[in-house]
Amino acid sequence: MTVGPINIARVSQGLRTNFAIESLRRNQRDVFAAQTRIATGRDFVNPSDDPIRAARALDLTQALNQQRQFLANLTFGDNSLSAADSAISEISDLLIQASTIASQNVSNLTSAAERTAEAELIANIRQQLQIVGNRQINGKFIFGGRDTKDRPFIDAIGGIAYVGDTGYRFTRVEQDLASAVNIPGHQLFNALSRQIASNVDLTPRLTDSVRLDDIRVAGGGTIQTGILVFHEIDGAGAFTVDLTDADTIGDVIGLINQAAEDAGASLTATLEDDHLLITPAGSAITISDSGGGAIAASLGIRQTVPTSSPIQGQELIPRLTRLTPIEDLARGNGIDIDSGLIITNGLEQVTVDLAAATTVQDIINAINNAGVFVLAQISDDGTRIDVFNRVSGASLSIGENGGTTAADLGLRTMDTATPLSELNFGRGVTFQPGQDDIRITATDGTTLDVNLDGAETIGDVIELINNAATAGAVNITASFAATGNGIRITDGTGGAGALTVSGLNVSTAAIELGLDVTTAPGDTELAGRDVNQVRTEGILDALFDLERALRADDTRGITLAGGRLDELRQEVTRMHGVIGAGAQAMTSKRQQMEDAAITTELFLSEVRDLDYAEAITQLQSAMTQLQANLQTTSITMGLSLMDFLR
Amino acid sequence: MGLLNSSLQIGRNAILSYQGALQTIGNNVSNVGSPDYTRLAPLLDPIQGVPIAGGLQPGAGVALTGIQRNLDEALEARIRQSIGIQHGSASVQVTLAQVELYFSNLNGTDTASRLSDFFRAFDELQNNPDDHAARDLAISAGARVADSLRSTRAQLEQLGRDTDGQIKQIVKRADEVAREIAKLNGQITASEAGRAGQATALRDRRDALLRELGRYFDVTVREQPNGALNVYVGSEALIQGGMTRGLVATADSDGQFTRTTVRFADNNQQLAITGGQLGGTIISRDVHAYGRVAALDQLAAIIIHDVNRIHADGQGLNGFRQVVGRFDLLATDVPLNRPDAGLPFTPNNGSFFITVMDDTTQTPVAYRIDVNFDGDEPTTLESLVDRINATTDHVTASVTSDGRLAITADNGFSFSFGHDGQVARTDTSGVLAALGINTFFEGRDARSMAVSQDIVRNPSLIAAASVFVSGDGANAGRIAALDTAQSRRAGGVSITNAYNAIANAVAVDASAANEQIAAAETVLASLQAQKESISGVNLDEEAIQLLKFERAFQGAARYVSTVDQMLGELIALMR
Repeated sequence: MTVGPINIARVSQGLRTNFAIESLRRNQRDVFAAQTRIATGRDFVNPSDDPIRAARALDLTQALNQQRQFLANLTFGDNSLSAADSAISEISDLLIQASTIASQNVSNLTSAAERTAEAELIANIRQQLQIVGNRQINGKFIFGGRDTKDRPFIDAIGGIAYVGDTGYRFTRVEQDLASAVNIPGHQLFNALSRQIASNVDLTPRLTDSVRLDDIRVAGGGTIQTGILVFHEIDGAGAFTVDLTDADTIGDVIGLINQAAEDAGASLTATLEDDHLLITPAGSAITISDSGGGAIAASLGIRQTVPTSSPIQGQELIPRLTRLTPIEDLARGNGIDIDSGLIITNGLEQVTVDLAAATTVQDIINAINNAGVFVLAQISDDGTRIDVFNRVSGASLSIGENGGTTAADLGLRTMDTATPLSELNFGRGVTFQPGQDDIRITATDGTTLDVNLDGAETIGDVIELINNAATAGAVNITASFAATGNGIRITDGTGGAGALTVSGLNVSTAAIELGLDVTTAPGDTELAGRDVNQVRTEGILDALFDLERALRADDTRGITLAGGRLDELRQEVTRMHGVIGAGAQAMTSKRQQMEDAAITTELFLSEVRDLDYAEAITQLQSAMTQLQANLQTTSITMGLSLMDFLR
Repeated sequence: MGLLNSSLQIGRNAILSYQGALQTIGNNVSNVGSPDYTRLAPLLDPIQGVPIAGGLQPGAGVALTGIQRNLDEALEARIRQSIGIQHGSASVQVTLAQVELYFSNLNGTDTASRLSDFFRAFDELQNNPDDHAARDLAISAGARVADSLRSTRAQLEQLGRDTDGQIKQIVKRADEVAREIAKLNGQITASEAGRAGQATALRDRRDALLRELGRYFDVTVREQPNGALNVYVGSEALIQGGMTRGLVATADSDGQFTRTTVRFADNNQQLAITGGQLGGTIISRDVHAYGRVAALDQLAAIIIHDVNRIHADGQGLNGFRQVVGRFDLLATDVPLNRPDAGLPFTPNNGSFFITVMDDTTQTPVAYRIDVNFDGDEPTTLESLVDRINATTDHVTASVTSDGRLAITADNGFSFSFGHDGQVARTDTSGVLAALGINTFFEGRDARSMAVSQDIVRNPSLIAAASVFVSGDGANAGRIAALDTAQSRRAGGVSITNAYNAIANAVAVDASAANEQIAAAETVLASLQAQKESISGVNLDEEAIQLLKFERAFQGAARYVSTVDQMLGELIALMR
């Protein structure tokens, strides 16, 4: 308690006592406060001592906690990536061993028996790689993508199937920034094939029930939420439509029409094909966004110049989702699903019946559950269904089951439009220029020689065969399979021999077109193979290739597989680099974060912690004041005129 | 002889006067230690005498004409008010010092630290979503946030009740003081009637009591010609002359809290209390104790809502066989967004996904359930149940007897929310969080907030995943990011900042209260110094006065003896 600067005419006994008591109390409180600060080491003991600094200290403490967590996350990510890193080193070592074996066996100097023995070594290397792929840390499979509880690489249909997940696990390393801490197994070994190439666009029809988050606008971008402002110049005037609560495009139309009706406006909103249509009635209108919104712009109906003609929004493209009805597919044209698909993977063949399917997920689930280890999912851009082969060591073929389902879904591995250059895993088909390439021997023994020069697609080959048959008056017809995949040769000669196709002039075209199949004597049809199968192109697949070639004593196969392994080694080196860069980024981020945390701690200390020199000086000064006060008080209080009265 | 007689009379007057004056000084000296005492000053006036020969008027000596109380009434009023302010500030300060303790972040066990720990636990969960220890940690961190909010709320509520209890005590004492003042009014009027002097001791006592009453609440005082004081609270008279209307405290409840109100005893009319200890206590109770309970409840609702909203979009390690909403409805046939449906959080137009999985094939089949409140048939719990049953296969929705949503899978099936089997799909309607389906927290406010019992029983239900894969922690990461993410419900600030705002407000209020009380004490001290300077006794002054009146008395006595000698001389002449 302080005594204010007032003019006091008299000093009474009471005043003197009060002043002494209060000033001593104040002195003692100052001493105590200084003592508490020194004892606690804090510049302020209660937040109310300095609310502004207390608030700052609270913010800094929270920021520090968060930074420490980010540090912990970075350490976690670093550890996870280093596990992947060491796995890649092992893979690299094993690959070098396999490559060495391949190059040692490329020459014809090794015997078949030696090669069989080497094949065992390759099988062993493959098993070791599988073990690396199935590595567990703390009981979790680290290469299973986000699926850490199931073994990602399993033996299946004669190969090794990657049944793990394809996603990344993340950890937060900064506010609003997460970093991946894993390499999914399919990337580690290239253990998923490419998707089946097709230009089929399954983009569905736009209907009322499509969610706004499932719509992208032509030219990219998504639909924003916000408030629309309509202005009916000669009608209802201005009114707003709050679309923040709209979930579907139908909601948008409903809300606009409801707001128009409520405002007494006569304009109407409708959905026409793939866009919104705002039709004014009797009055010109303008449409704009409220505040900083962009919904009118994103729908393409922002119209700042008054107009009486209908305003057509921009093209709205719904994404393909698992719930999209099949009849809505391909902009409402629908597709044939009744016939189903035939999927062949390695030696497994299944017919997938889609007759009961009503939505896209029914198709996807049917394919995924077909038991042939393929992965079907909606493409990232939401326009089609992608199918991948999960099995290394097996090749995937998808064909028709008599209808057009596979082609409609864009899932047929080979059709008449397939370029010959893509066949046989990209190796293409080689012709003998200027010479005949294949000879078809009919059941009656007639032969048909065909020069395939100039053929670019499967369709071209079929046409050249048929032209040659017509020209040579041989009753042989080539066509493309209506069931399964491949070129069909039909024999009308009615003989009893075997229908065969063989190469001419050392051309390998017969094999490369998949026509080197044997038929029983008297069979009138030769069903060619699918030579545009899809395989994983990864390390495990190449090792299967190499092992098979070694066992088959196939020098060309060994060379091809060896070449694949060499390419894949570069790929592994690249992957090593990618992971290394990721780990490096984590490390440098960790250093940054450590620095940031230290800075925060420094700030916090500055805000909260005591400056001892200052505090001790303050204590000293408070104590001096107290002492002085005690002394003067005892002197002045002892002084009285009464002492002098006699 | 007449002359000599009147001379003697002069001496007698002087002796009596100085005796009185000395008595007054003696009274001053003896009261030097009593705090309520007002210094008295003897008023001595010369007496007009009869003319003597030649018409000269030598005067008739001195008389003690009065004893003055050295008191400044205006100052007294200001002191009364200042005491009120000081005590009002003191009671607010004491309350806030306690409130501050509950919110103090200096010991690491406060809600801010626990909130921080909670979000960090979800970071850890994102790193190790399939780790049971991380799940247990998230649950205990959530429980500690809830405990902390609940206990802070309970402490605030208890503080409010304690403060309310003080009001009863104060009212009781104020009533006694008022009664005593009224009694003193009567005594003073009787004692001063027809006399020149004031009943100084009684007035000192009454002034002290008035100061005490002013300590409790603001009063206005009007002195009446008969010496009585009328005391007003606001515009209502509390004491008139020798009568007080009496004060009583009654307990009124607003459904949530019980509050004591102060009323006049005679007609039960509520007093408009401002200032003073009572005013400060009422503010302490309503603003700083109960008021902060409301802020905590709001914060708890924000945390529950925001965490649940994200949690409802995620998946645990396994799907549900059955799930029952944690929130019950008052009415199952009114739209879910209407207050009379009784949900703590309001859903809006939108849709959510239920994905049903077959145990053997693990094939996900997703269904979208639309929720709409705009059309002719706004969604009610019953219509939602119908819609789920009409849309999905292998799951059955129903309404429980206590008005909750229950969803049950057929044997051999399970279901999950927030994804379609390939990608995450958010519940745009918020209806799952509103009904307490697949939620992390339950409860509506700081008192009822707790980690959902379903999750406590089965930690694998914590929805760390966003696409239903065991090692996916993306949804846990989204919850962890809530600590700094803007919350629409919190008005665009983050949960952490919403809490900080409450804690900082307490610190600012406490700091203001500290300053206010320091200011009030300073003002009061100044006023009291002024009062002491007027009304206080200074022993040195009194000693001088004592000497002066002693000498005067001696002079008067010597004068009488001189006159006596003169009389003796005259009498001797007669012999």
